[in-house]
Amino acid sequence: MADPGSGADDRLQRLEAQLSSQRDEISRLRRTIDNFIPVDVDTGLLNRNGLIESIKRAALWWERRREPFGVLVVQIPGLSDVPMEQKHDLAMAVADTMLATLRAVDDTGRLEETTYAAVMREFEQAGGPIVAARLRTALRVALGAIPGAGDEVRIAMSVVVEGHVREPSHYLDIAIEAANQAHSDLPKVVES
Amino acid sequence: MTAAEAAGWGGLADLNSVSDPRFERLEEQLDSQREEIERLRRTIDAFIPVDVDTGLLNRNGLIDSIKRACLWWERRREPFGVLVLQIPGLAFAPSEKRQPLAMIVANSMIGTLRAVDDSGRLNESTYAAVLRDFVREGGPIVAARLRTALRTALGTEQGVATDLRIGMSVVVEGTTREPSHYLDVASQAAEQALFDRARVIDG
Repeated sequence: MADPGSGADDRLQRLEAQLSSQRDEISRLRRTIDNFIPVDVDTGLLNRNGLIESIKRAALWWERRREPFGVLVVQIPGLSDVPMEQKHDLAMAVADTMLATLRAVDDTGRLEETTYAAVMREFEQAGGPIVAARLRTALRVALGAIPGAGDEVRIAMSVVVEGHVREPSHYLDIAIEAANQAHSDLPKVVES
Repeated sequence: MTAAEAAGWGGLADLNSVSDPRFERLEEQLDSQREEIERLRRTIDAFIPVDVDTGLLNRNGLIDSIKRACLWWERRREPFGVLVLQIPGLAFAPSEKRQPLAMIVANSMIGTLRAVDDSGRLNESTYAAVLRDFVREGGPIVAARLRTALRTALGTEQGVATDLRIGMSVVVEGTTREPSHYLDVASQAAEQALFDRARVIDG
């Protein structure tokens, strides 16, 4: 006579094996997404992967025909304090404002909830403060309806105008560091 | 007599499995994970720009690259070309050789084209590239260089490189159209191209 529990045990084992294999597949797919997807799916902007790819392309054009480029970072600390239900709308407002203010050929991205970035090809250092002022004004208007959200907008840029190119993440890191130190009303532009 | 008793031990085991909350929980987890896998696959199909077999761009990536080229064309009239390369012999290679052959083609394209060009793979036997800052006159030169490099690289693989068809759509004037248009035009040109002569048409 068959053991009454053995059929159930077999089925349990089968289901657990299926679950484990599904878990492996989910991890593999998530790794693929983390490594290869260049888009921040919340906003449709580039994510860090996409921004790094964009800086790589800009660096190739710099090497080919000495076309200067800049990496802009915008920090809006107030975005982390807004109510959860408003976060997505505000992220979209920042994304739309950046896309509308920067040139169509610039690549715009989001690094985290409060940090956005853009890669600007064919860009001179002198243009930095002008772009930053325009962007700050547009962001303050766009975020004006939410108290506190747009109070502090820190903008910084690393601009490549001479020398050899370095690792793409270098330009992003320098711009982030500069944004950390930037005054809310004064953009910080550094040469990389 | 209960239904379980009537059914015997095997039947009892089956009834246990149906009513046992452990099975229900596991089945629910399986369903939920299945949905998550589907969602992740849809996300990858929609957003991933890379052909994971070769590291080249896939169709999404090539379309993004053409979009960028169109933006630069609109900004400063920088001409660009879309090259499509068909190697029908690749589809007939033994399955164990396909991945190494794909890598040979990928490396030949990257080695032959400029660093600022974007190379991609559309399917097993069709590759493409977006050539920025590119003029029509350069088309036959690039095609000849690419053909020579591929014939050398694939030379030892019998029959694979005998038929290499290269087509190009080059944008030198007019307003830009949908990015896929340029890929389609170049694919058509490659279909019609002679095996030793590239077909270059205005995009």
